[in-house]
Amino acid sequence: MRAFFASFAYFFRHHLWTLGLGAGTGFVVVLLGLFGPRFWNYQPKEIWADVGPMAFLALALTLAAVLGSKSLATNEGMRHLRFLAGQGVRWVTAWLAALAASLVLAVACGVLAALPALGALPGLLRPGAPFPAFLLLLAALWALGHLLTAAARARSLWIAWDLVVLGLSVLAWRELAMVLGRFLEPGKASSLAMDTGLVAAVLVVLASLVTVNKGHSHMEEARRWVSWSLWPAVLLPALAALGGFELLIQRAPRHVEAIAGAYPEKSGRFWLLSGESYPWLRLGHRFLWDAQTDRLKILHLPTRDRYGWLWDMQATVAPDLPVAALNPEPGDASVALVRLDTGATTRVSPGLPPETFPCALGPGGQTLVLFVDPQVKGRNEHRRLVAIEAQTAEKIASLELGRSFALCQASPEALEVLEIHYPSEPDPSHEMGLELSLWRLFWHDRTFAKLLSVPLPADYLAATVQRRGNLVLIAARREWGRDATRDTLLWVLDLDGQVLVNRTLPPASTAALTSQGVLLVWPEGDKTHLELVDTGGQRLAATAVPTGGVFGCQTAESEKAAFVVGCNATPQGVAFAAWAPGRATAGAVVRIPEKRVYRWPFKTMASVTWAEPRPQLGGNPVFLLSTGLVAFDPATGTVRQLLPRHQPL
Amino acid sequence: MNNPVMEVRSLSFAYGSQQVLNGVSFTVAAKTFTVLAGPNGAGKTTLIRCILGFFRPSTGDVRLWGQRVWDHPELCRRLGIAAEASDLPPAWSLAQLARWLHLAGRLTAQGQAELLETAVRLGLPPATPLGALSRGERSLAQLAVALAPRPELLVLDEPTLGVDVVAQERALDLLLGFLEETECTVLLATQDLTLAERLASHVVMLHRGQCTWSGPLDELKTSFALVTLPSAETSVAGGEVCARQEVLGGIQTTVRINDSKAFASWCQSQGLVARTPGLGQVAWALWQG
Repeated sequence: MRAFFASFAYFFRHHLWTLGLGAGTGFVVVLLGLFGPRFWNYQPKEIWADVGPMAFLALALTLAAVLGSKSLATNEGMRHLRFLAGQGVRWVTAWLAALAASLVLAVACGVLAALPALGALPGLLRPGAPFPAFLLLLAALWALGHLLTAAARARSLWIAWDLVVLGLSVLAWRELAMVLGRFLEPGKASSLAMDTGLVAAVLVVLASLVTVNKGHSHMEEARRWVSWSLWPAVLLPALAALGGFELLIQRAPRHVEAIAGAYPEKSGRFWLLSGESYPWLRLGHRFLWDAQTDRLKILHLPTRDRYGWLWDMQATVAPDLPVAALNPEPGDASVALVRLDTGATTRVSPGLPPETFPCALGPGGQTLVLFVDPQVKGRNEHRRLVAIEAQTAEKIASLELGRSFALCQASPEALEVLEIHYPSEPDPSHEMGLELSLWRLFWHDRTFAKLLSVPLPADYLAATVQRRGNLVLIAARREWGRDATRDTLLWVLDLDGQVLVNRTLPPASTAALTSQGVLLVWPEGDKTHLELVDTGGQRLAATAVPTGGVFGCQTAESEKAAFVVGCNATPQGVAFAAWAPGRATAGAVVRIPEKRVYRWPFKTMASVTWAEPRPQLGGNPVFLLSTGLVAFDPATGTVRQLLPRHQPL
Repeated sequence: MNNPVMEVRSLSFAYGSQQVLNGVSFTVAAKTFTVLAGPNGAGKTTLIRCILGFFRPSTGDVRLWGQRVWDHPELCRRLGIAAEASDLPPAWSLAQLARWLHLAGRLTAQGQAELLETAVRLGLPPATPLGALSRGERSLAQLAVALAPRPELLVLDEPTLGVDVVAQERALDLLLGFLEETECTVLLATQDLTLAERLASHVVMLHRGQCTWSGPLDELKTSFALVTLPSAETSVAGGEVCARQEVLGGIQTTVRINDSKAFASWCQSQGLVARTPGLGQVAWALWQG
């Protein structure tokens, strides 16, 4: 300890001149405050408050680097080391003393420079939580000054090694920034990058220590240790972070925090999901789930764009095989084809603009239908739908959409496309009419055929469209965000455009084409009404289920009980009920609370959606809640939580 | 040699591709005065820096009291060092330096006072920065500082280089006075062989980075003989010719004696008188060879 204090005093005394620099800078700041108001429209206190902290930072940071360079690596620095070592001071002690004296002087100089500001605004530079990190930054700069000076003075061929590792470091840090930015939310990513940077700073400081402890005052030896310690110190944290991250991606996550999107294959066994795992990291990812074995596998696909914005997964699954197509990452023109059972991924480059999204996948994943939307990037070009061979990217057919949107639904036989034409740019603040057109492309054909075109009244903004046999069901809602307080218009048409059913239902109603007829669902008070009508609109059966107040339901057909509904209940929660027409009473009603732990972007824009057949596991319909997947068993009236597994919804 | 204070084993060192020391080995026994002699560029200062643990040898090692000095820098606390290229802080005065040495635990309060007394006795101004002193004064100051902690081993690198005769005598008085009081071991690196011969009990001869001789001074000197031969062609029995120099009356020849009896009888038969050479003459012969 005595040797440390003596060495500290030695270096402190030797670099005492820096305090003069601090005092001089402080004096300049005083003058700026006194004479500045003559030139600028600021008060002295304002000038001091602005310039003081800047002077503090600039002086402290610069001095740390300069003192690092002068203390140990120059001829003078080597003499300091030899003198101290000659007095029996350990090399580590001498290094520590040089660092401590430099840090004290750097901070003291900064404080001297900022004195006017401190006088004007006491508490401006209050040591708080960031102060240790600031000291670490100063120490890292000091160490960097030492190491770079040692490297420069030795003029060694080790520079070749340095340049190689430096290049690798730049690549590794760039990759880390990309990975963190694209998988984690911006706050977590910057926090993790900061932590990694702090580790690197600590390692750089240690590299300086190692250089002195191993190289003593022997320049060539020290130079070798600079190369061995400095650049690995810069490279290794990035590699370690990347490696750790890769490890997380490779292994199946133990926890799934939230599910945001779910794309099952036809059998309901293999799922493509998007969501978050590792709650401490909030790692967003796409992953595969085998519902039978309950195994998860993360796909190495990012969830955010380069600006950190969450990027909702747009995927489509083949109608007969567990193959899905999705955009691998934002701005990437290629499409990834993923086997949902094995995770095997291939990429297809269709040679289309980057604003291309998979719309449907043909049987066997042979045909890929892509929605080209240049207007995503603000370009006023026509949208189009392009069908290509998945293997060769050879174009098969295309459909010009103009300003319309398109939604696809694939069956083993054909592709059906719902074209939604807005008369002007969509704007949720205005109520506008829209026109729905139905197109069909048989997989063996090369041209789209128009089946139907239906105009919707101007004040209906959102609609669900369902196809079954020769029928088309349109449930259109006037919607304002999630405030579904207005009536629902229900149409059932045949492909000739003849309206078979035309009903106006209460707000938040829904309907479905089923094997037994058209199922209508609407809430009233604390009950949900279910009514089965034939294609002529005649009631076949009806019941009311005590679900409590609900504001929107989803339906499913099940072999165990004819119909199942899952409704968003108020307050937050979900109510499930089963109904088999002909039986006296409805099945069990289950209410589960739903905890919103994760906020994916909220879709408030008016939209039209295809009603897809609901996936089932063992005859139990599966519902995607805002945070996870559940299966409802209509026979027992029980709800089984599928994902996440380790926490209540 | 039992428990040597210093062991240098097969020590080699290079600055980049320039080999400076090559397989140097010698030992320094306790309580001896060993002179490390060598011409300019022999590698004395580099060897001293390796001995002090400042430089890492490329091969071989240095042990002080049986421990590798590279790994045990604290051994330097038992050393007094006065190096040719002064590492004393030039901005500090002797008084400040004495205070710092006290703070560092190298000097007691009494030692601090004694150092200042010594400085005054040597005519050194205690309050003048060391950098402002003349070269001779600085050397004296170095020596005084090196002796002040009363070290067990004194390592001196050209302490009298550039020092005038008067200052040199003062320095020698100081050193000899110290050695009379203590049982300190000394390693003195110098090219001043007159001084070396005056002080040394043992000698290490260094030439072009190699140790050409190490051992007691007397042994070194009696291993060589100086004879004046009538001509350069004359062959020598019982020894080998190391160096020849033309002098009045013949060729002065330095002979390394291999067989002392044979050499003595050969001298007798030739009517030659063999003399014991001085250290300088031996060194000249060795370095020239």
